[in-house]
Amino acid sequence: MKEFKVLTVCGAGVGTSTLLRMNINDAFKSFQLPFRVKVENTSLSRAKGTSCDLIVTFESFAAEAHKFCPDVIVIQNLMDKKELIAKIQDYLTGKNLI
Amino acid sequence: MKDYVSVETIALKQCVGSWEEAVRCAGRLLEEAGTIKDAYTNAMVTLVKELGPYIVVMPGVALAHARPAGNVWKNSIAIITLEEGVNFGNESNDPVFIVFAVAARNDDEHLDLFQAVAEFLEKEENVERLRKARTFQEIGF
Repeated sequence: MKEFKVLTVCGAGVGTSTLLRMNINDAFKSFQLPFRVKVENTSLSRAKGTSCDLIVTFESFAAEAHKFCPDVIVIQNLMDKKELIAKIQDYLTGKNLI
Repeated sequence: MKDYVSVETIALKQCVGSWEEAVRCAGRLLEEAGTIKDAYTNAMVTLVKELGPYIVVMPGVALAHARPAGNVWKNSIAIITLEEGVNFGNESNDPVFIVFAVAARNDDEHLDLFQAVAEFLEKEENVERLRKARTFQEIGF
């Protein structure tokens, strides 16, 4: 795997997902990974037609996101860097990526 | 943040009965400051009704916003704080005491405004000071 693609997803795809993208990008920097991580933000409706390895989103969109991407991380407090790092770590560990 | 807020777009210790009233109150500040059309306020409310309470991005804080759709004249942010919290229906982050209304003229500029908000919210002491502030000066922008 050369590139790992993450989509941050919210309803409108402009505000909240942008904020999430910035913080998720930072959180991924805590890990030494053998591949490049690319994070993009989008709306739920546009995410449906976009291929990706992982979706990071909020409770409101989790069930819908699961329908087209098996790997979904649900964030509660998007300003809590510890939560973001812990959830990414759990995910990467579960996938044997770290 | 200083570039987007002013004394006119901040209202502290407001009393509102519902999340919708809180969002409309924040939107009205921008309407009165002449930076948005009332359609933008309606769009911020509709977004929550249609897509859910995910705009409560952290405990106690909601970021109301919508797609610009030609309803924003000037990049601007309103902030209201609430005497008593209101619930948006977000189990992990209710009740909400601070509502931001973020209005950008287009999607690209949205990024600048949200970045400014993020930089502010990143520091817990900022959020605490804002929540307790009774005057514009006390917020310390």
